[in-house]
Amino acid sequence: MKWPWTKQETELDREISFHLDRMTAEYMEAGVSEKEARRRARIDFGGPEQIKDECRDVSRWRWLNDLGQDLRFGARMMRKAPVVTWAAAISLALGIGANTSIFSLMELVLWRSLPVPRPEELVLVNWQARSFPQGLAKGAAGSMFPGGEGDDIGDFFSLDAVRKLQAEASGKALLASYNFTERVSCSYDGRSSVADERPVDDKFFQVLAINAAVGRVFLPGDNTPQAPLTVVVTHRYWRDHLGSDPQAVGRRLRINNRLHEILGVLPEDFTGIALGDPADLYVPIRQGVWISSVTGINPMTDPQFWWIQMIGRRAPGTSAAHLQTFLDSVFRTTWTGTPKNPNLNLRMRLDDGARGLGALRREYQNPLLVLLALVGLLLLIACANIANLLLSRATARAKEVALRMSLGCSRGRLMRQFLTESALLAGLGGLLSLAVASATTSLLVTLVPTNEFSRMPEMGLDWRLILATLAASFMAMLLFGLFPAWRASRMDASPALKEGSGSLGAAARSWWTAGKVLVVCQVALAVLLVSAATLFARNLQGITQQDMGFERTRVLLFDIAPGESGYSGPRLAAFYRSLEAQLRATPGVVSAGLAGIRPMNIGGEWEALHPVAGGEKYQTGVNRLSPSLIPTMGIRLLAGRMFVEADQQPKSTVALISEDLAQKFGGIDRALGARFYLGDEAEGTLFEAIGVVASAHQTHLKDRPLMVYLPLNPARTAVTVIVRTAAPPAGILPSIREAVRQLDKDLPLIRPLTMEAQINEGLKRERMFAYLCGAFGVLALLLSAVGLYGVISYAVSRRRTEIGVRMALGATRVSVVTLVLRDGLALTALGLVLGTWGAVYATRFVQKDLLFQLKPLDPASVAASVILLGTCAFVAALLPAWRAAAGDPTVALRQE
Amino acid sequence: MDLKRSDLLQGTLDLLILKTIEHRPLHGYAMAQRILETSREVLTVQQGSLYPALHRLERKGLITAEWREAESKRMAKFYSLTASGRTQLAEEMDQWQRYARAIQWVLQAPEVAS
Repeated sequence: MKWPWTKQETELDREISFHLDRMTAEYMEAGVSEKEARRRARIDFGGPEQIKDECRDVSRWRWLNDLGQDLRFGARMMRKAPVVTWAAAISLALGIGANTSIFSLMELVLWRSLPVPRPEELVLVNWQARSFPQGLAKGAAGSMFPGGEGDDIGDFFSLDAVRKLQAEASGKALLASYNFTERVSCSYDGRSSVADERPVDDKFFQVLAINAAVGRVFLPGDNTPQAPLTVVVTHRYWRDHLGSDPQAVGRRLRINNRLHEILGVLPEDFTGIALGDPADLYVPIRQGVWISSVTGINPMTDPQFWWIQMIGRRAPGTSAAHLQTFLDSVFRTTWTGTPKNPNLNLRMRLDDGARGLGALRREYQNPLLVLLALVGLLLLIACANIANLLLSRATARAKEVALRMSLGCSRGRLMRQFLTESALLAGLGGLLSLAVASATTSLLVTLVPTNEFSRMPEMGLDWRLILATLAASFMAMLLFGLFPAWRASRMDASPALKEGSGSLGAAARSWWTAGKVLVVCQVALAVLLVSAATLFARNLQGITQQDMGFERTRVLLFDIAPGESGYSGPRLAAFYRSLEAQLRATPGVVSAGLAGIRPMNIGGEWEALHPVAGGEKYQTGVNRLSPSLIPTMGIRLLAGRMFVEADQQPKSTVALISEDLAQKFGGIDRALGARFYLGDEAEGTLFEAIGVVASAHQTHLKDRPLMVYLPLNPARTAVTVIVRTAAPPAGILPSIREAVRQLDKDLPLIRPLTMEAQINEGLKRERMFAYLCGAFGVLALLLSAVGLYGVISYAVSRRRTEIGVRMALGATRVSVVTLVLRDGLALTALGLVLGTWGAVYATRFVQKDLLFQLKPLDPASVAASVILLGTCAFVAALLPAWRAAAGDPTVALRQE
Repeated sequence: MDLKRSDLLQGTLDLLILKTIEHRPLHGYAMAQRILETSREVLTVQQGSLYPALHRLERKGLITAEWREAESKRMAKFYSLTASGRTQLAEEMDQWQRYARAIQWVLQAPEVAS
């Protein structure tokens, strides 16, 4: 295709050659030879190239012509200084790429709306209180987390309350109830798999405004205890496990050994009600088989057992505030007891539900903001680098600029030339930064901790981010390109032309100051970033290397749920006994034990403990164990005795307590034999401490709770099996699988993990921090070293004559090196002092909850970063200093 | 008397071009010939300098161009006046004539004894 400007060019050619030909012909008619005729025609006509140029000057496409010229010239300049070009482009790419990926992470975790119609109408129904509503709730399952004003927020309600709230809210809002997801074993068409199941009521999909892609979602008739068992599957599950077969709807899926009719398949873009929602299957909540294993309460009938979560959709025209007031008044009528705590201040609370459940958001809000601040600093360092590089280049070109200006180049034209070059760099940097961003974002998603089976959505770079990235790089480049351009154009041409390379012109001297300031800033910012990196690295190290109270190597753990596959009563108890025996007999297995709650899995079971002797009550973690579990975990027995087989019965009243807890009873000796209630004082169960064991971490590495261990109730439907092996567990897992298969070939091992892997699951946040900050720190170090190197070597090149004179007059190499180093190190020292002061100040904003056993102001971290940066700066300054001293003074002097 | 190109008064080239193509479209060469002829060989425009002027006038929308077959069977670019070119021509001719008349008056003013 022909562009209008190329067309113009050929037309101009044709037009002028026509004219020349006619003139030539005329001279030939007058009898002149062709050669002479052509010569005369040219003279009469004037230089065709100049004429063409004048024509181009008035053309509509002149700017394009100029731009092409500028670009060609810019590209040539870039090729002539490849180090500067690539250093600037890569600085920009790293700075902006890192920002883009942190932003896309924030968009994903903090800001993205649920993929449902009109998400802004959704509300999360919670309550808020000073503490757990004792007297109103006997037992509970759900999450409680700190909210504003020193209150806690809870998300669980009794079935009774849910029903009343749903009925009263009609017209103002549609409320639906749901529950936590639970791991289940499924089998379909002869293949078994593990899936996550979420119990929901028949309003759930109506609230979300989601319809089935195939089949249907739940209707009111499905959510009754009498209705046939049904299930709605996600598109993902349908694709991965049902072969995307539309005929699967109407067939039966076996879930925990009970057949469920598949009612429908959800649309592909529906990914659940939280980021990384693990739910694969949705079942009616009223058909749940869930019964409290702690208290034996039936949550379906007991109004004092709070266990259901709620989500709602406001009717158009109902404000959230109005709905909250209204639901609060209804909520108060559902209480069936009197609060024991007079300052309870229990009230309803509605939270914005557009972005789904907030657990991940709560955990990541502050860390992400800290990361954003750090990555912002990184961008500043990169920008300082670019400014420095462009400034030094502009100064190096002072002569060229002066020449152009004295030849009549306008100031505007000169600025345009410089800006075009900056834009060219920005384009290069922008493209590179997109590559950096797309490489790092996919890496970042893997660092986001969710529970390990959650499916994170693909985090592609969306076009808004790409546009923002490109806009940011152009902004940065133009900003930093404009100053040198403006400075260059302001320059007085004559001194620059007269001066040799050795002397310092006026412009050069003022650049030197600007460059110095930039380097000091860079070093100061780098101190901040590197101390953050060392701080979080030390934090992670501190967490992972502490004494956990148990042996963590060569331990394998997995869950198994025989009670959900038809085992019960004596058969279930017998199964557990033979499971332990079978495992112990497996080659490579040292010992095996069973636990009610999976260790190091966050969450856990919590009870209030009241000593019979009176005094304070304590919140303790509770786990139930088979007798061989304590030795298998490698937890030491300090006093008393372990559990024995005979303790393993539902009415058992013996308990082991941790050393920490024993201290609360007044020491190990006094704790032995002490008696206490677990649960509500009046209705709690009486236990006796028969032994004291070493304190050990139970739920995660950051917290070591007071622990009570009770004998495992053999009627428990699911347990965690913990196996200590003689060799690395991965090699023994197959024989362990085989051992379980011999007992029951249909029982899957759920989540088999080594203890190390299990621990790491809980440390994703710390790991993400340590990795990202480490990466930022290394980048900051590199960028500021490059900046310092650039400034010093530039200064050296400007002082070559001076150095030559000094050396000719007898200065030694050492004194020259010292001279140059002194400048660089003075800058670095100033930067380090400022940076340390900044780091001390900035750590006030690092939230305590990000750190473990470390104060935000960790002297060792700051010291380490200062030493690291000082060394880097020394090397960066030494290289040009060495080169200056190694030069032959006569060469330098002759250049003048 | 021979006027050199530099003697051509500033701005008069545009007027000459517009006038030359007032009645029929011409290409650049023919224009140069015609200016030479009608000025009785007094005004010799440096032929090349026509083209920047033509392009500038075209850009201003005073003239328009089209490719047509010339006498020599070759394609040439013919320029013709647009409506606004015609108005511009009338204005410039008027201005020029007033200017020329004023110069004339000055030159022919009778000697006044002081």
